[in-house]
Amino acid sequence: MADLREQLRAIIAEIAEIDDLSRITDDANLYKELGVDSMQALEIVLELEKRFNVAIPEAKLKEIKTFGDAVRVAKDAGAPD
Amino acid sequence: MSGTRRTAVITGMGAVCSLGLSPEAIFDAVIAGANGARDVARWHGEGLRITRAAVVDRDAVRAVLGASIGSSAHGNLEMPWASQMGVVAARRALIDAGRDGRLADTPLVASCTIGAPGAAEPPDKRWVAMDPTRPEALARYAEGAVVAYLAEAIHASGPVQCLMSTCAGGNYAMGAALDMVTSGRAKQVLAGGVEEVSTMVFTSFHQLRAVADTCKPFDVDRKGLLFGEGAAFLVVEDEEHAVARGASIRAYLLGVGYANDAHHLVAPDENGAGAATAMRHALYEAGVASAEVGYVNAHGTGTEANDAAELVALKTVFADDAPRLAVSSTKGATGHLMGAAGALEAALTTLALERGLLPQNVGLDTPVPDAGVDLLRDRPRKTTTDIALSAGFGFGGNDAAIILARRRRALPDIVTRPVYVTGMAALAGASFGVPSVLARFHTGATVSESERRVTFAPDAVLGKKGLRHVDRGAILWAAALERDLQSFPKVASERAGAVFGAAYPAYQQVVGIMRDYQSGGALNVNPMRVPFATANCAASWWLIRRGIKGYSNAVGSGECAGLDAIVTAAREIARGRVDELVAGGAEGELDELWQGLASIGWHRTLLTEGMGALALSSEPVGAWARFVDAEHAFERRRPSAAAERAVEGLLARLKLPLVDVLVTPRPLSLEAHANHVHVTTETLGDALGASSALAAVVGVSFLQPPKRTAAQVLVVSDSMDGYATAALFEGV
Repeated sequence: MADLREQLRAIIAEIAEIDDLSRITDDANLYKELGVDSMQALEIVLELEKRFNVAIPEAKLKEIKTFGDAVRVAKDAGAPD
Repeated sequence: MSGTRRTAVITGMGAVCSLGLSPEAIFDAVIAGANGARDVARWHGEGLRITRAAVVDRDAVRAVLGASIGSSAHGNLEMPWASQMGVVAARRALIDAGRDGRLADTPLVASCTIGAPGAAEPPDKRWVAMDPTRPEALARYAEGAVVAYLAEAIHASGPVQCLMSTCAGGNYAMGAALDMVTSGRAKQVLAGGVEEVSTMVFTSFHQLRAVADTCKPFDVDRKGLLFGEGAAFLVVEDEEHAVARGASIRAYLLGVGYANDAHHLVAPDENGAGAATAMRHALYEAGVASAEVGYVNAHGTGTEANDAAELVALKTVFADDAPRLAVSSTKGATGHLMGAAGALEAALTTLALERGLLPQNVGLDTPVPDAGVDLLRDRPRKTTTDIALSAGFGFGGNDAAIILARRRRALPDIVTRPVYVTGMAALAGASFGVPSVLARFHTGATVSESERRVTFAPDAVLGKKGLRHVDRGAILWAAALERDLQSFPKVASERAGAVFGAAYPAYQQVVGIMRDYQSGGALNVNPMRVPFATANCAASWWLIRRGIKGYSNAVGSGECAGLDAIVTAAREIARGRVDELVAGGAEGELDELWQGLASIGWHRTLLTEGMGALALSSEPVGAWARFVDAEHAFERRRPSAAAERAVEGLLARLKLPLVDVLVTPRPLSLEAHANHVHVTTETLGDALGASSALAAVVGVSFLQPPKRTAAQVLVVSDSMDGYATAALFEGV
């Protein structure tokens, strides 16, 4: 099983329809740089919750700005690294 | 051409919501600070974070209603719950206007944007056994069926229209009624909306994280909308007619304004641009200066995005007058009635003007710091204001605002302009594009099983990206427009738009939501289906792709929907609010739907995928035909008789003994009215709500040079639910 970071990168690439995975760096802003919209962000979180069987609290969602933030929030929620 | 406008007034009102069974009872509850939210026991044990909604007491409604059985093509079945609430509100409005509770040939315009999911949900149970494709569910589920049940129960026989313009739909219905009265087409119109709370839709919105157990409009701590249900109807009447019969005038309906965000299917433009444009247009049409407006009944859903965008829009429109502008949303008390919200809020705004008492924002504790308007808090406020604006903004970016006034005032003249046909788009099963569809029609060969579905790959036409979750009907709509109407619009995007019609809008996603639920419970519902489960999604999605911002509307009058959309668009262009519209219908493949409908047996030919649309314009450049006039009728048990009445009414009004060519989707006994009759579904298949638009495409093709074979073409459609539409086109 690929590690959390790679799996999350693949989820984001699929949902936001990003062909070049190398664009999804830790510092990449999901919204401004990768063009993720609010619905896609919600879909990413739901997919993440389902895949890793974790719950992401509402308050944590607002902390997610970059890909790195998303990895951290997933880890904090208990997703296996 | 400009003409003196007739004046529209409101002479009767009825409403049902969680707070009461009349507009007066609801208004009293709102100003007392009541909150209609109740715990919904059947949602317990589902893992939902929220189980509260502003639901209506069913026993109370049934006590008023009495028997609630109505007819359908599948036999006599209990009315959908939304229709039952609608009947109570509609009868109350008619009686309030000094009539008995029967509508007769008075037009009805009803907004319903969700339909009746409850028809597919067994009572008092969860969804386990639910099947949206059972015939008895299909006969009641769609928006058009909800309105048809209501229309039958109040004895409607004249024009009946179902609008599906999402959460702004109530205002679109008020606008349609306004136009019928001010143009002189009707003396009275019953206009409003109905909507029910269902497990399916609640769960979808819950998964979208859009619902809250309390609605806190414009509050720093707002968390989402409070789901609500109910119905509201208003009698919109010609002022002279009302005065002559001694009716009491409750308010003046001065104007309506529309716009389309073209931003996102489920999020408003952050700058509130569409909302601001709709409000500006409404003020302009009413001849009202922004400083004269003393109250705004805001859309105010209590969601983060709506309230922020709406405040920006209010500040944009009212500018220096904004700080003293009294604003409240009544949704904190009533919940959000979706397609019925605009009508309920029109009734509450009328009462606010009548009583000189403005409702407070129930649920507002800490206003957002930079609101910039006077948000009413804690208690109602006395007022002497004469003029109010009521706003509605919906999914897909549908924006509509209306202006109501206590007293009469001089109104600007209205224009009426000719409407030209400048283009068309079509697909019928395997035939893609207008030339291919027309060629297929002229073969005269019966449609075959292998032709039921389109054969092109959507991404080859629409590009590879952005197609995830997109509803099939929306794909067909956009693909055909992409192929046949590349150059639309020729005018600025703010002066153009679309009107979409379907009998089973977005049914693919609707069924998908139910299947999600059945396979894994409420929390398994994929919220990504919601944007493409909304009735207007096909038009909205395409308008976003093209960046077209003038107008968007959706019509759900059963199999007439596509043709009704064309008529609706033509009236809007004639009225001068927009210059160019694409209008028609599209229905995508869904085997389960086809099987369910086949077992009802009303459609006589193969059900197929289809899309048909006309491009209509106020400018004759490139035009070969002109929209002349249209008529509607309704008869639940005999749709063909309704079609005949619509034709006879239209030809009598135009003083035409008969027409050259009559085109109809399904066989009707109308040979006496035309030299030649063509039936389109036998060759093209029956694409439900799109079939009547395909008939319009075939019809206007007879007027096209160089082979023009007719001077006039009459397009006529009946529908399973009793709607009928007839529209006349002539060559230019």
